[in-house]
Amino acid sequence: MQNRDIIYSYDGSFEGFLSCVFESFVHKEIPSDIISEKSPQIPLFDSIKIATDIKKAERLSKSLLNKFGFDIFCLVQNSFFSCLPNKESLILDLIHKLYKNGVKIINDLTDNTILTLTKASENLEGEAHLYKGFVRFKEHKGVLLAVIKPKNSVLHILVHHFIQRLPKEKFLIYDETNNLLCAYSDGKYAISETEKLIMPETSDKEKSYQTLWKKFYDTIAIKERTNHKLRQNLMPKRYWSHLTEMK
Amino acid sequence: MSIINKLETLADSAKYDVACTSSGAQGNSSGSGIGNTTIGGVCHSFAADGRCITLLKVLMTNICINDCKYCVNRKSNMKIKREAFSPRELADLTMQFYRRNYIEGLFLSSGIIKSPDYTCELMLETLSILRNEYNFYGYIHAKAIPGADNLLIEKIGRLADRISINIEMPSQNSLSLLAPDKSKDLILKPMGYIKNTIEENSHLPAISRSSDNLPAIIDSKIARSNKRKLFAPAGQSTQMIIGASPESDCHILRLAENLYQRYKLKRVFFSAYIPVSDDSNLPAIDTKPPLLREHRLYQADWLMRFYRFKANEILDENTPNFNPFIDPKCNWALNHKEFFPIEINKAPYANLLRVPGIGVLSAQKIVKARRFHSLDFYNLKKLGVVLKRAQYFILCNGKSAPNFQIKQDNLLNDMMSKRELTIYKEAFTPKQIELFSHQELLAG
Repeated sequence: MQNRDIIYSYDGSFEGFLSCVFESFVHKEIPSDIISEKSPQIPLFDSIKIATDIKKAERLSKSLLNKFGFDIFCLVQNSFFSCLPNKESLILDLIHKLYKNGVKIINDLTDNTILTLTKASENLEGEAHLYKGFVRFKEHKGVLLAVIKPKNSVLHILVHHFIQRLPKEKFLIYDETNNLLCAYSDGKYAISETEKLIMPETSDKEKSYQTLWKKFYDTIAIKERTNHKLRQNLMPKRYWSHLTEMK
Repeated sequence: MSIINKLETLADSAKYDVACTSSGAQGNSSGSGIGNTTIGGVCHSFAADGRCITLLKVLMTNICINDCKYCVNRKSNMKIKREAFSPRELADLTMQFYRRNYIEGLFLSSGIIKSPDYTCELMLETLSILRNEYNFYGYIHAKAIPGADNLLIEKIGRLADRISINIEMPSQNSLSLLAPDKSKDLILKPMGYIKNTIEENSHLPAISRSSDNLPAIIDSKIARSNKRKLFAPAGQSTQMIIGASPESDCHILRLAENLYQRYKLKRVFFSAYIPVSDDSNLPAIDTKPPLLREHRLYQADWLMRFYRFKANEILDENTPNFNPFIDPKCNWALNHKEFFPIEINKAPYANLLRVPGIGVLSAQKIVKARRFHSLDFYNLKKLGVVLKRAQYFILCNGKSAPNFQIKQDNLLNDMMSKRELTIYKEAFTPKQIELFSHQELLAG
């Protein structure tokens, strides 16, 4: 493996990133950076555009799964979907380390790459867990609609949770941070990019459930124990904009 | 009566119940119904008091034939409205809240209307509509009503994920004084019955506990019917009121330990007494709820459940009450200097857990990482150890932290949280030293 003074660019997808990793192994080179065409930064240097190749991405995914197991694959995937800056280079470094030293290396938390990615992945899982509770659906013509505003990209985790939970419903979840829309109906789902989602008017029936929920929320607090600081620690304000009870 | 008024009254009457957790059970409907449960539980919101909202926590009714003095629903309380949900009404509300992801399920308790058996039957009907008619697989926590027939409790347990009976008061004396219609036996008997029934059912093959792990060849219908047979798969819990009666912290902690061991409870909850009555046997109506004391009890409970502490290591006859200024783990460490310092690179996991500033997660990370390299203080910081506290109790490769010196002032600063430091300073400024009693401080 040789460090090369070149920059890879890719289309911003997970498959695109895996294609970059593939390329790095084929040419036995480590690029100085990997940048997404979607990132808002203006590239200062020329980059080599790496085409997204689904077959290569699948080959690498399977190899990661077979050689290192599901947990490691999740670490790679979660790190990629996390909000960590410079995550691409770190994940590339991790994957090289895994193939060189084996799966045990993952416990070496004194290694900066491994520690940073472990934390990023934990952070994403933590936020996904919060959103399992904080998603608020409203019903419109039999479809459940929700908007989220996460720091990390958590839809790929949330969708599986809600499919298990609401298998017979139809639902849409829009991630306004990453402009992603997830749609589920009749056992199938898709996540796609969307510029904007215009939410329909809330029906009267829906409003009445929202009022009931808000009434419950306000009633269940014990006045003598009021503790706004504690509430804010446990439910940070950035989540409030889409919580029915906090409007 | 409109549903919103009922909801308001019956949530208001239920709010003093602490347990709002949805953990301990795992399962789903295999595509045929609605809902699932996850082992760690999910919080859906946090109320203005900072308590988590997970379940739709309501009473079936707040009508009650009992007259427990500490309870807002006692029959002699003329200041509250009395309402009752119909089972259908409550089941429908639960489903609509659940679909919108407001809640993880239902927490159903009740005042006693007519008789314990009649009350149980109303609750049972609600749960039966949810489980059998609506195919609801979300979380249900039901209170068992003391004095109800075992058969009814058994039926409720087959439909609920968790079942609980409130022990109410930390001693028989306080119970007979404040809850004239209840007795220790009335509470402990069903608790024992539930424990035995859970144990009998735990011999079912593990496969039926979670349909998640089922191999595809097993018909999902088998998984479903097995789940139905499980009795309270998320176990049993209880709660008691703190500060309405004179028991010491040590007494309460031992009682909790006893309940964990003898009744195999999953959780013991503590609830700071909020004055709801001016009865002469109770603290005055303007008494502040003992929130710091409740907090200390939970810290100690945590030490027993996750840090391998025993109740008598935390408190004993000589120190029957918590130190208001220092958390119980720090307090233990400061009183056991002979145990420290411990060497981070060699100490067994159990000893790492005893160090203030090292939690369960950071202890696990230390054990993992030290197999590769011997760790230094910089590594520990990166792993999430709170060095401010831990530095007094640990060595890395035989050395103390860089620039480490023990000074009395620093020690206090480092061992106390901001809040603890504030009450400490308030208590020990010369002017005020006599104004505060121990108990008042713990009222926080």
